[in-house]
Amino acid sequence: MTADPAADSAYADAHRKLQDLRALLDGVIVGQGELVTHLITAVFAGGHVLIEGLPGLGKTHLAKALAAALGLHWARVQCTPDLMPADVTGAEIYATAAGGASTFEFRPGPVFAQLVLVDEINRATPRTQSALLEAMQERQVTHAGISHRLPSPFCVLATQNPIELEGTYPLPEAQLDRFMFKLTVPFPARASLRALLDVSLDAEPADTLQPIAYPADVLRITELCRTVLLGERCKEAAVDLVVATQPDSSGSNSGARRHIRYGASPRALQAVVRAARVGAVMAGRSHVDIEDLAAVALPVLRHRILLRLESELDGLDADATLASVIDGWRRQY
Amino acid sequence: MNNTIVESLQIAVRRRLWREQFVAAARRALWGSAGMMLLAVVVHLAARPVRVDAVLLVIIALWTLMIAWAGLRRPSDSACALWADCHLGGASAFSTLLEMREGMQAVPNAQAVQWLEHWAAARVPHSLRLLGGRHESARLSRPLLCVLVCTALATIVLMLPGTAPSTRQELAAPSPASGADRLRDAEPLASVELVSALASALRSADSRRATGRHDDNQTSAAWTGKRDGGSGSRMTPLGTALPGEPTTPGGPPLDPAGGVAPTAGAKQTSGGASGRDAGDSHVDRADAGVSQVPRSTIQVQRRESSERLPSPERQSDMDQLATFDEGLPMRRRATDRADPGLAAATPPPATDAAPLTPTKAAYVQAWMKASRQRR
Repeated sequence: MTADPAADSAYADAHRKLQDLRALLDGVIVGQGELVTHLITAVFAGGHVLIEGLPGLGKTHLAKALAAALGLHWARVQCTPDLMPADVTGAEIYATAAGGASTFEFRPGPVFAQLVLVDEINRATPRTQSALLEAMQERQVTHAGISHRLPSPFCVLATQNPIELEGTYPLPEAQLDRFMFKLTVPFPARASLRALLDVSLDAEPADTLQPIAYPADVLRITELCRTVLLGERCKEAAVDLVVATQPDSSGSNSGARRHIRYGASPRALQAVVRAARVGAVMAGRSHVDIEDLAAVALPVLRHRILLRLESELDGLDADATLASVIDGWRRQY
Repeated sequence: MNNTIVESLQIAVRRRLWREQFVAAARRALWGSAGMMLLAVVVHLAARPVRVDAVLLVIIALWTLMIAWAGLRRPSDSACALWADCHLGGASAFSTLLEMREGMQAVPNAQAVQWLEHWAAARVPHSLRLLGGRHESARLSRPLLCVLVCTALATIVLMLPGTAPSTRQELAAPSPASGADRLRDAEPLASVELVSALASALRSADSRRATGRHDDNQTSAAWTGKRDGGSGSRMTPLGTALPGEPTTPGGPPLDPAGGVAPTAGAKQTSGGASGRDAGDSHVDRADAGVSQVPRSTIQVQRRESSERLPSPERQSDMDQLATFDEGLPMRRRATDRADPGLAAATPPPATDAAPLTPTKAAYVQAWMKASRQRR
């Protein structure tokens, strides 16, 4: 259809791969279509994801299925208060070689996997959290003066439990900002629960998944997504979206001014555009639309704003506040 | 190929936007026409008569302006692309493609642009279907109805005879010279030429009266001169006598017209129309001379003086005599004439160079009518 068949193949192939991946995960994680889509988007945008949900909703299962579908090497860290940074990043151990020579050698921790599932990250101490989040940001671990590059692709899926907060260490805002998405796992609908019995009653489907893509494909699609075109109108819209969350800005609405104490950071703007590009490829386009921005606005922004204490006491949460902000912003375009 | 398909959509969208601009211009022109007609009605009723052709001219100018405004504002390519993105399911493809073609963005990947062209071209038929299915109301019914109502109202009101409320107000205002009841009886205003003619007639009458006054002054001067002769009292004009009657000793001879011939005594004291300066001295007043003229002489003189003047000016003449009888100085009498109360009985001066204003003309007419009634 076009003069350059390679162009067709690149975007069309990426579009097909992403569609297949979503269909596969939808079959394994029943009734969580939006969660699956956002997770795929974050992985191909090169971001990390914080998943919040009650126990038993399939968070770990989702991570395992994603890693299996993409052929990624994955690792799991169960966070506890006595978890040390070296348990995550790795440590030097005293080893004796075959010839009798003894040396200290670096043994990589679980963070050196391509897909790292950090369960209940808020139970780890701030020191361990900081080591993990530094690795997430720098994509490298420095130990004894030696930097060790993390593998690529590299994605961290951290989970936290909204209940049982005693003895936990909530992530500070600066560290929350390192996550591209914060996803919430809703309770499945009744029909989904019914379908769940047919899918995963006697077997763990994630264990039997065959990969439909490989790490090289993930890297290629990630690079392709960076070439997605962004028009002036969409650039303006993305900027306006972030500005709309600033309580002191003239572009914010009354809800934002009343309820938000701190708005989203410029890093949020980058995250919105990167995620929207993946969404465009997932929709079979090589250009970003306003709808792509709107689709990722809530998971990008919900953990990047800080509400006023009065609003929190009134029972408002970030989702409700952002919903009004995004609605107002969407009406402009 | 893809460019041609996308441009066909752009042309269709431009045609659509242009048509919407014309409809919007027509809507504004309708509202504006209604407003102009209402304004004309208000002005016609409240301030001054408004001509129908002037209103029509303004409305035609308004329509021309609006149509020209709509015709000259050709929808730009970016506006068309943006509209197609927003309303025809373009998903920002058309505007982004336009930006890429115009080089507004550095193209990071030619593959992306090619895929975008391909995507946009594939989207065009769907967008054209959406465009054909869009039937937005022109929203002309309300302004059209308003214009019809306003047209009917304006037609009725503007066909009424023009009123000049300002003139009416001036007529209704109380005039210092005549009462409101007299003004109410005044006839409608004639043309300015008629008023000017009336003013000219008044002016000629004024000049005649001035002539009569001059004669009176001469007469009074003769009286004063007689008194200055040292033998007359204040109430007895010395030296005045009817023709054929004997004059007083040393008095001036009377002219045949009943005036007083200038005498040496008069010239000696005053030398003008008034011999007041000579007769006002304390010595003169103290000189209680014997009146040689009978009382009937004064009355005859008064009668002749009154008969010589035209009737409308009789009031002024009587005023003059009364002043004389009170013995007021001539300068003070002249000051009294300049008094507003007295000036109200005097018609305003009219000149040929400056025709009277309608207000003054109305005043002149009322004054004329009052004079006629008095006569």
